Amino acid sequence: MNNNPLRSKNLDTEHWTIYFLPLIAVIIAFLVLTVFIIAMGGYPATIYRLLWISSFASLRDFGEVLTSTTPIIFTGLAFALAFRAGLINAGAEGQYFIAYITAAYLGIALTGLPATLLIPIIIIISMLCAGLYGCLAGIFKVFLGVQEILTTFFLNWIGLYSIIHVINNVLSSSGEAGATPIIIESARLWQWLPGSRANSGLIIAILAALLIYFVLEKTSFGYKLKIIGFNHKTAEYTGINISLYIIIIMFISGALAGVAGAIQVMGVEFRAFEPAGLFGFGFAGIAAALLCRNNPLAIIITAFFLGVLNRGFTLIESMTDIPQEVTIIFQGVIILFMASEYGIKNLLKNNKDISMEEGRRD
Amino acid sequence: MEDITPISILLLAATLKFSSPLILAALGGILSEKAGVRNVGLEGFMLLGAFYAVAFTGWTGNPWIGITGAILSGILAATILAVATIEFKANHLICGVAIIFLAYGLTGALNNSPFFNMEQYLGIISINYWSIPFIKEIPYVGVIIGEQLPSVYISIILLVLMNFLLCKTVLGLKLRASSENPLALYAQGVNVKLIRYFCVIISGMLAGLGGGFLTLGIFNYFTPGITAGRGFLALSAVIIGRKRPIETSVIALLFGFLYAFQMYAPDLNFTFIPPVLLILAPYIISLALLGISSQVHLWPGIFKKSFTGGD
Repeated sequence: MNNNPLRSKNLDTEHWTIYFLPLIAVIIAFLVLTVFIIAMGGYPATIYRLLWISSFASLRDFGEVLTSTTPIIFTGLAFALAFRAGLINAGAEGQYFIAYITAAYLGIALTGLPATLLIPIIIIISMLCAGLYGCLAGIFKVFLGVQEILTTFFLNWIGLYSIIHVINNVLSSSGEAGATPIIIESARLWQWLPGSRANSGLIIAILAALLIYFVLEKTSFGYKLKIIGFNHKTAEYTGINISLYIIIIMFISGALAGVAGAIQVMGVEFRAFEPAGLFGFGFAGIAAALLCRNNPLAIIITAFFLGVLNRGFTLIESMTDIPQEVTIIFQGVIILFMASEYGIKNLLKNNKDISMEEGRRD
Repeated sequence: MEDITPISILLLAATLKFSSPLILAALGGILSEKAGVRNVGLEGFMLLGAFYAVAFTGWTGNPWIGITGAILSGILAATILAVATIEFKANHLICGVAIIFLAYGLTGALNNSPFFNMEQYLGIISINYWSIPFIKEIPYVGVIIGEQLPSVYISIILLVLMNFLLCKTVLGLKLRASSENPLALYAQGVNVKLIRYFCVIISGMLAGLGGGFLTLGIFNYFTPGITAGRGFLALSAVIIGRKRPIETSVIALLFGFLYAFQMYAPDLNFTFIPPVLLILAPYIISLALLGISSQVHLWPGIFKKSFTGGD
């Protein structure tokens, strides 16, 4: 135990129980969910059986689970990458919206190209737009000193209201309100599981997770991100151009969230629907990333887990009184618990040092 | 009013009305910032307050019980945030995001449940305006400040109290020290954690109060996500106003003006501005002001300079 209150403690001193913290977080979240289901007048056993059936009863259901897993993998990666450098990108939702509308527009506008050319073009342009949108938060942080959490949250609302406007007024389809026209055949991704909307986007997602894992763990770029996240002063003395890196990281992070939006249009919905609200795949990514402590490979598993809940409760809502929004509560409990990890570790180690509060990042 | 009041006067009255929930939440934000907790959860507290104000008013028929419900829900959520950030030393920002998750999830889930069923209260819940006997009679001024939402008066009173608390009392000094130099405060024998608990919980209370007046006084209904970033606007008002109650309130008034303008733009012949821009205006202007304000440094003159004397 060090007695100097100003020296920061080594956060990585391990206690065997901390490996089970994510598991405990999930158990607590399930407890909260169960209490909530009982309070809403449902029978937990029935609901959980429905949850199981809606995900694993048939190949078609399993495919639907994979469909809602794919975007969460991307938004989870977006959060994890930025968090590695100590940046909190809470704007995956806004970046997702921007790519979503871009892909829906390009899917209508770009005709006459073969699918092999068109699909990469749409994905890359959507990524660029979402990346630039995410980049804004980085630019605001670097040049104007505005905390990225504020910028990204405001950009979420700006994105939400902008695309609602665009969907209803600029790109509206003649037949239905609140949706854009259907994109052309050659801009669609391959749906490989008949009867479900599971598409080749999942393959891109898994490849992206592998790539991000490689970049973060095996390259000097990933190492520099770690240094920036650990300590800005150290990074500066190491010769890292922090400002440039923050902008680049926010760009990549936004682009990753953008792929989710593009795939949602090209592989699942084939058009852009007016979003019901702010909470969707973008925010689910935060829970997915925090639940596995921002490990890019494990995000595939946590995203699948959240995908099961997402798909399950969408179906349960249509059959019972239990609303879909309980998944947001579930994610909130997980985030709260995983954020408190440091304090729980301290409790386990019975650490009674006096120190400044950790966790404030300016 | 026997003659027709000019729209500009109505606009000013609406500005006060729309900004009062923001000012209440921002005052809460000041307290927790001064105590050293960055309170991103304001948005969540406001949303919970907005929900429970409508629910309790719907059940009992008394808007003041609704306001009490709003305050209680804010306090409960703030307690969660306080325990996580103070006791478990969690990252303030991520905890705040978690609170927003919980608030959106809870209010979204309960909104359509048979037990709450918020749609049945659409338009029938409201809170009576307070009127000030003599000021009400003055032309124009009476319309602006003579007969207003209770939150306008409450926020003015709390603003004065907050200024007094922060600048003139020992508690205010301790409060400021708990963010500026908690170790010094600890050495003094003051319980830093207790001060932080107090501030975060009061901030939840004030933001809940603001959310309650938002639905009861302004919208008269509840839909999921009704606060739409007002908690973040309050937080950015705190940051732009440098945690000073008066400056913060001025910024909150500006945001309130933008919301009021959004409502009166057609009457004022500002139809050439597309409605979507008016909706986006508070967010864009808040971002711009955050950027500008961080460039203007108001440090004291000898800040970060060494001092040698007496030799």
